[in-house]
Amino acid sequence: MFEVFQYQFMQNALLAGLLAAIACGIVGVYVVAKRIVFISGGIAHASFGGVGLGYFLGMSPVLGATFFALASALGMGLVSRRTSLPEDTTIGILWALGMALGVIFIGLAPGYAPDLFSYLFGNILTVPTSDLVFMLVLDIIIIATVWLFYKEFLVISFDEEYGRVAGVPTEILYLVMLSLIALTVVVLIRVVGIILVIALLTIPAALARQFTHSLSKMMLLAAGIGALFTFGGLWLSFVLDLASGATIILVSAAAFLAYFGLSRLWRRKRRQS
Amino acid sequence: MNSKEVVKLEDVWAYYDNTLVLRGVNLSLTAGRFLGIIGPNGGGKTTLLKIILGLIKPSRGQVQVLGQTPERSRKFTGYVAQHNLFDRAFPINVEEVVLMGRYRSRGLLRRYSRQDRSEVSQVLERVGMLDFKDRQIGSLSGGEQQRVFIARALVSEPAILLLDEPTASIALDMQVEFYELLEKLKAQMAIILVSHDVSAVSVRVDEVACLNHRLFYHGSPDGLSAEELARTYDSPVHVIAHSDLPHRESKDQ
Repeated sequence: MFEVFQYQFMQNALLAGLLAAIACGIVGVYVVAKRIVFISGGIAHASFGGVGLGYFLGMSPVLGATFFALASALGMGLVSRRTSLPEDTTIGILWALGMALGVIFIGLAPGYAPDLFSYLFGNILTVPTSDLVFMLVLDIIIIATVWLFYKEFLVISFDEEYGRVAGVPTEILYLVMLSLIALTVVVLIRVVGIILVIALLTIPAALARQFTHSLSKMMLLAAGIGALFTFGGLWLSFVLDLASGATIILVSAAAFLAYFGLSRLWRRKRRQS
Repeated sequence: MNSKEVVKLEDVWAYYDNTLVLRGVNLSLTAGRFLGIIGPNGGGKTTLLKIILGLIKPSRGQVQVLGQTPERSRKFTGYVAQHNLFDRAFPINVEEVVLMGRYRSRGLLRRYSRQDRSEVSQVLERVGMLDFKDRQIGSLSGGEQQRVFIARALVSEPAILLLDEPTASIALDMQVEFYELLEKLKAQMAIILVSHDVSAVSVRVDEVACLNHRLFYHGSPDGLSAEELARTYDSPVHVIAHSDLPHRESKDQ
């Protein structure tokens, strides 16, 4: 049943799943705790512009996505902090702008875009080793940044105004945090695709939150849960011959709903007895 | 008594969200004094605190805190913000919240030390919350949360303590205890407490200031008359018999 894991492409897929789980476990905790799910969705979708630019210029779409994700993260962060525009308005505009640019660039690109679908919905079975190396580098950047700024990120997530009073450089660190989200989006693109990224950023962290009230423990737990979901979804997609990215998301969402359904039932039962 | 001036505002005008909320406010406070600022909601009380903290810049006028600009002396001010603004489900425990108060003594890239943690424990002991150190902040009662936030403000050993509506979430029987705590703290710092609750404040403070865009009164609580209050609140204030303090029958609660 598990002999499929001896293939090189399957081993790459497992490694990609693990690297994705680590990134989304760590960064997802901030996304969930600071309630910046919508801005994360905006960054993810805007990165599609970069995929299109990659095709248009004949360079790597992942590189283009990295550039676009970072630029949109900084753009959304700065516009929402420095101007009086409401944050969700800014996000909505940049979200659609990025996607529109992507469509235009792909239309202008010579020939047709072969793996376009895999950037939108992920295809973990085709991750080349070079992309794995890139994902590993991004993971290391994410871990190092969170290690360095853990106490600052905790302050700005919990109580940004107090952070300002206490002398934390809140605006810069908020932009750094959004940049980490951008990098995580890039790590996740290969696994679940731009459109499904937001599920892996939120579901493992939201589940982990049910078991601990420490951010660092939540990160470890969320990474573990994320790995479980990507491996489980990957295996199931292979056995049932379904799209891998979507199956990973379905497994995650099913686990999430099952957990909340069961815990409600259990609580009701306990109240009755 | 130490007569050092800790806060000085001269002709301060300020906007908040594009509305002019402070008009020509003059205020002075000396060390070791407990000032209560009262006035209606929207009268500029929170804005005044944020000006003292340097979070809002006045459009006109001078602000000095401990003889310096508010930004520079921020490390000597402890701030307890209006309480209802944080996410109660946030994954953080009491010790981690109070440790934030030690941030200034650490700064970027440096971890909290064992000494920081022991000072956090001492302050938690002082406000009677040491047993709750590992509890998630949202699982505490309103009064307990308030004591944690006061501990966070105290752990940086401030010279000025600023409290914004601190009793709003505390049950009435706990308020006595709360004011007793402030009474003890007064020996070490100047305290400014902002509240819309006239009667509770006037009994406890050394000085009272009435703020509704302008400063209508600043002085001893004993000298505060019903007329002054009426002018602050733009409405008649009923002085209830059997009490030597003016009460306002609040309609906005």
